[in-house]
Amino acid sequence: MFTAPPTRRTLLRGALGLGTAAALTACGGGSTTARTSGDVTLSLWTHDPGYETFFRKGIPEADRLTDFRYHLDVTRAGPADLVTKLLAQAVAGRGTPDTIGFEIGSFPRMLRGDIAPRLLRDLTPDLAAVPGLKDDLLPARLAPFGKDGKVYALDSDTPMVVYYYRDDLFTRWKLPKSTATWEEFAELGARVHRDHGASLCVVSTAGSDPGQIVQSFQMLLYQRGGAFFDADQNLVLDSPEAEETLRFLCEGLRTGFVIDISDYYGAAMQAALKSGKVVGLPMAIWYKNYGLIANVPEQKGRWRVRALPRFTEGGGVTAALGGTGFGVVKDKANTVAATDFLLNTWLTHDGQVRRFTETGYLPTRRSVYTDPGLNATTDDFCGGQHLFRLYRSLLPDVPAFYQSPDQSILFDVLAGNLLRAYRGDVTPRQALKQTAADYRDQAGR
Amino acid sequence: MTRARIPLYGVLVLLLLAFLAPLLWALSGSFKPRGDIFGYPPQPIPDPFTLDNYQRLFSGQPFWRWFLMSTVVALVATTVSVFVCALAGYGFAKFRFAGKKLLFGVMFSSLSIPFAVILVPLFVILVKTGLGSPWFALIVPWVAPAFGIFMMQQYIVQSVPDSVLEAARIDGASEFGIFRTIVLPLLRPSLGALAVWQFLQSYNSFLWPLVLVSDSSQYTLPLGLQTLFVSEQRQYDLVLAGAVIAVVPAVALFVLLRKQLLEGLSTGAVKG
Amino acid sequence: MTTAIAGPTRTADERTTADGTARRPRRPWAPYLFISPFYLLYVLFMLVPVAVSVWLSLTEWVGLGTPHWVGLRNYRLLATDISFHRALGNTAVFVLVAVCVVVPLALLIAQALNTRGLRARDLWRTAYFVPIVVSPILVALIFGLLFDRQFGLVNSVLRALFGTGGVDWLGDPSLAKVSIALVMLWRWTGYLTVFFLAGLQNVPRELYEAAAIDGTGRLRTFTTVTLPALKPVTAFVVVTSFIGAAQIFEEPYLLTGGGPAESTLSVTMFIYRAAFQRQQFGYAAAAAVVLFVLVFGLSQLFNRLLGIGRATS
Repeated sequence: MFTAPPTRRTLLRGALGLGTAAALTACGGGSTTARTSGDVTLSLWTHDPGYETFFRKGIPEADRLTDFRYHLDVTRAGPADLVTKLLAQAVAGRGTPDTIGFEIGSFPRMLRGDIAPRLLRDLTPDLAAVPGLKDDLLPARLAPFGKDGKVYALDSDTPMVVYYYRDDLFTRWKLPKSTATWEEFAELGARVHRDHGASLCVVSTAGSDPGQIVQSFQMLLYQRGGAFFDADQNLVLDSPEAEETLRFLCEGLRTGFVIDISDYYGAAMQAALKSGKVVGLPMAIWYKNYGLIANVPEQKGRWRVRALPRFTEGGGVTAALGGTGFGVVKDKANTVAATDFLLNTWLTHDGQVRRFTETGYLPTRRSVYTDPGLNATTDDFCGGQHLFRLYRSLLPDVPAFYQSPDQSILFDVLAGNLLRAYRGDVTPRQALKQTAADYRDQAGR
Repeated sequence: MTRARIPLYGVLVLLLLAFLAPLLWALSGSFKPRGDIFGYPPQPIPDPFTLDNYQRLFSGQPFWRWFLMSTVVALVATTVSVFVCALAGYGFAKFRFAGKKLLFGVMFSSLSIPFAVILVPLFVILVKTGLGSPWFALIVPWVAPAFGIFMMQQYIVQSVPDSVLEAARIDGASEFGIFRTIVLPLLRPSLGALAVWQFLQSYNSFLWPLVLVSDSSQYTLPLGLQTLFVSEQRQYDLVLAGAVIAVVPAVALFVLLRKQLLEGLSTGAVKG
Repeated sequence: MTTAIAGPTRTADERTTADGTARRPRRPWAPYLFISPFYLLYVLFMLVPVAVSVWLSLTEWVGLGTPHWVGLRNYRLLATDISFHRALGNTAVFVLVAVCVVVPLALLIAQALNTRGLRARDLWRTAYFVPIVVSPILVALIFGLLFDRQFGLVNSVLRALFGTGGVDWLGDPSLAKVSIALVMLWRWTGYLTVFFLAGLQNVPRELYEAAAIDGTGRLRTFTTVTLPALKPVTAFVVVTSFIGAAQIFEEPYLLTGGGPAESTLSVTMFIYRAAFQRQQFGYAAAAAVVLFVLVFGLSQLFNRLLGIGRATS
């Protein structure tokens, strides 16, 4: 679609040279001989067939930009299962992949101890080797997959949170097409619930999946300016922002503005969408594909996307939710080849453009947001909306998301306490205090 | 007499529905388009009826490879383990030897070891010894089940008369000959019972194949179905179709071996 | 779900010894040859990994790299870990459900299926067996759907019958346990029924006939004839169910993920969570050793209490 400017090509060659040298040094004492050119078959692990398709289609570009001729051997499994598998294979010393995609919620396991530096290639030198690249990448999307200033995986997406709503019903019910603040919107939602039995916001109570329960809270918390962990992996959850956000959701549940649904992606959500019980919700940009189109394809054309209302007290206009970072396993014969492949598919201008047009994921390079082609795209499901332009306008507000090796502990205890607060068993304040206490009790055992 | 039976049959039918309803729901759902699967109230007869889920499962996924892998692995594991158990059960049941008590006790204790605990060490051992190939390693955790040894040992004590063995020995038969020609035939029912159990163990296992198999085309069914159901992508339609077919081999084995199963259990571990 | 009973064996063995039929074999190597395939596999693929795990329980290990020796620290931490205590408590509940609800129910159903002249016995038996072979992922899918608070079938039926149906089956800590118990009931009852049915079909007909001649009532016949005759199979099923439920994993893992607020977290899930979600392998191994000791000890106790002898022959 778009040809890479010649300069880019030369620049990436530069990166290749440096990568090669680094890998050779790393393998100096080992028995693995690094491949530097020619035919190479990369083993790629991912949970999502969409990424497989993306990378396969990226082979010609990568072949053109590097000295390799790539072939892919893809293994698929669940996101958490991939990490379990990776570590087991690493202990056994065989069968690790060359490239692996970490769903963001599974990556914290790699942060425990020295697993990440021991197993994964630090991509910072590779990024630095391409002039301008490091600064062009959104720091917010490097943060989740980094540790001690190093980057171990490159995100697939800038998964902003937006507001989805049923345009047809909003029109019929004469609801405003934009509402400035969440507080006003909540009042509106209470009225909509009273008059039409419908809700404008959703919290997940997915029993088997603490991560999903946390997501509902997480997106508003980060929009409000709160966070789970700071850059040094300290828990900063117990904050006024968190309390305000949780209180907001709990009150919404009382008035019917918010509805609790057991699974964002499954049967309950489908039933709620079909029956018109949910006519709008805040969610990440990828939810259009996985939540809406997957469950209610027949509602095509009736949905629209807009920016989230703001919180009166502060915060931004969006948050980030989800993402998948692709990393390279180090000290293997294919390490260099895999790094080059990743850089020349994932991070090129064309690659980032293709990522949006093929998978709906947003670029992680700032410069790509000005691409005229992307800005011209329209979305059929959302009645021909220029979604990309909307996303572009939200870009400055995307907050960074830092992870901690103890994140799964936090999610376990937070999920339980969120549910108790939703049910009214404890106050939002108590829920957060209890979460912090439970977390301290369990973390570091 | 028959009238008195009506409540009994009523209860049995209710139970039948309770036990089968979920599977029937899955069966019916597998013939519905995705949007209809969770419709309320549930429609027992799919309308519109579609084979699309099955077609997409067969064309878009290496479903039959998964199916074949699972079935073959489970059958091999079952055969080997049943044989190993019969041998050991016979050894424990009909011989007295030094260390028997200890060896038996050690085996008994292994019943209470959760598999998750030995997962990683076992995997590392297999790989380091060069035995990590899926075809071999997939079978390993199921070939030496303490449960099976017990069952066999119990059954053999009950149903294999010592006099027959003694007579054979006097005739000069070899020990393995005795086992093969006299003991094994007598064991047939309990072998069937054990086989059903072992088959299920291997066929439904998830964690072990997950760690072991990297090549998607060597996935087992539970693993394969799981890939249709990861994170945000819930391909319910395909999962239902796959799960319905997955039930077939296990039920078929049960139906085939049900006579043995019943006899084997009753005279084996059970009879006082 | 595995175990065995050994009592009858022991008596049988003793009897044969008394008869003098089982003499010291003339080929002393024979028994070792018979048990050797098993023991070879067993030592290599069970004992060695177990030994490794016990060693790991004395270390801190993230799952990669070198484990650090920490002595008994993991065990001390377990002693004060509220989550672990919850897991133990929950598991105890599941064990009680298995032994006190599932097992008796299976016996009742078996008794019903054993009615003389019952039609289509094969059909019932096979149908009741089916849940155990249904793939766990499907079980989770179906029961998640049934128990959904807003859109679940169970609540829909409750609403239709009683007008109220906002029961939060999977979201309420106590009800979530009930839901797990219901799934256990669904999955295991039919399977255990097969065992009881096997035992029942083995009770000599003459015993029932004698009871009938004496004019003994149905209930009394059940308690005086059926139950004693079923003692061995009952013991077998009880101990099997006990060990199975003590290691319960799939039901809570797939349906509730151990939640809400750890109200359905089982010990095996705790182990899995520590090892495969938190990369605390040493800690997981220590929890496993504790579980092993408890289960082993209690199953020995069960064996003794039920009067079915020791674990040797």
